[in-house]
Amino acid sequence: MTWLSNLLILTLMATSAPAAVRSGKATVEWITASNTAEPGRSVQTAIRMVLDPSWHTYWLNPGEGGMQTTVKWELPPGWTAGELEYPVPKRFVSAGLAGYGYQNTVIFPLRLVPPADFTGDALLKGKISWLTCDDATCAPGHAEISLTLTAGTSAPSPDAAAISKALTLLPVENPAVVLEVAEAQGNLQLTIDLAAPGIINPATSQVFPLTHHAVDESTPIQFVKSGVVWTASVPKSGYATGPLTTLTLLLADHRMPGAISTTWKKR
Amino acid sequence: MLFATIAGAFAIVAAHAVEIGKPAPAFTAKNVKGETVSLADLKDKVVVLEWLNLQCPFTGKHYKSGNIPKLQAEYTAKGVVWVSICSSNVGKQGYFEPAKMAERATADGSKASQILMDTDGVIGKAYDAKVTPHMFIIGKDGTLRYDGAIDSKPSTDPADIPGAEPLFSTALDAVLAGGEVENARNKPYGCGVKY
Repeated sequence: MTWLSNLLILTLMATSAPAAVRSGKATVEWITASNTAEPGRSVQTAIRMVLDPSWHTYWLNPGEGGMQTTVKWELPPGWTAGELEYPVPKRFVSAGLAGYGYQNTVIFPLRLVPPADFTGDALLKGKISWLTCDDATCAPGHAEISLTLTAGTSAPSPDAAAISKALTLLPVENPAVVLEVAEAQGNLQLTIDLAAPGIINPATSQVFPLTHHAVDESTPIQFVKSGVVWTASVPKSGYATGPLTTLTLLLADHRMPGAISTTWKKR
Repeated sequence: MLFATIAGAFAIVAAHAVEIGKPAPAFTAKNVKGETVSLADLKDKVVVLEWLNLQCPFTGKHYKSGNIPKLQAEYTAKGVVWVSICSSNVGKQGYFEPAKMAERATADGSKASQILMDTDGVIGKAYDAKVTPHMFIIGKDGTLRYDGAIDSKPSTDPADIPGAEPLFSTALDAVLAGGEVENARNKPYGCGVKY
């Protein structure tokens, strides 16, 4: 091989291979279910974060401490990106503060839509910032990530299966799970009524508050069966300003991979 | 039974230990020079308490950008006493021997009036300091006037500082002007205090 062909191979590798970037006790990579995308039709991609052992990163509601991940996309004209989607988190207590987040490997799905006149290759870029902590230390991560998609009929990539699995871990809104909230002396009285019985057992579900500054996160939310409904009493967050106007909870029943999301709004 | 009563009584005290408008908990501690500093000695001054961990990326954002040193210079020039308190335990992130702490803080541009060693976490727990930086303001009358975040953008990126709402300095301006603090209690952001 000549130096020229070596250079060519190196150049091809540099432009086509998705780059995993290491920063802040994690490695992040922008992966895709298909390396090809059809004009005007959405393509399922995802951010994969592999955390160092004993380190965690945070959910949309990070809890008492921590930090939510943020992303700034730099997409070619005509491309649109949906919201980064967060799988069901785990609750932990780190440095005395309750938090919600992820350990080991976490995949955040993201849908992209190419323009209707998409041809050739598109280089998509993003800047992602996150926080990792263990019990003693926090380390921020920053990475510039990129993904190249080619116009063409979509076909499963080697990451397609991992992304499909990640999609099953996302919470799903279920209107049959009805949440009511009443305030009494600094406490929130939560009631769950199931319009369709048996879809979930609130008493054996882990409960995660998505709404920030609503419940005091130092206490886990535990529902108990009370007649035909389920109830829980939780201290209201000391940082809530005025009466609560909305609350979204995730209920993760061990029988399902993801979770049910339910939202109460003050009428 | 007696034990349970005592534990319950403690919990009540702790829950009301820091409240806006109530007297700020008294404390006495050694500074990085080994001198004794008491809150009681700072009577008739507006006092800022800043929980400090020089190895925390949230604290680093506000020192390396020059934001906290600028605020320290600006407000100490107006007679405010700025007390940085390190509650990191020995061996935990942000703990340094006092002389080393002084050296590190100077290198990071600190212009604090005092840097206190709270290695056993007594002051931190009395104030329920949760994160670094967690900011408190004590009025000239010794009452607590602010308990919250330094600004409104919980990130480690210095680029977020100019666009953030300066919650702490807005409160401090109100206290210095003799007015009411509108947002006196809000959720601070940062690394958990390494007790």
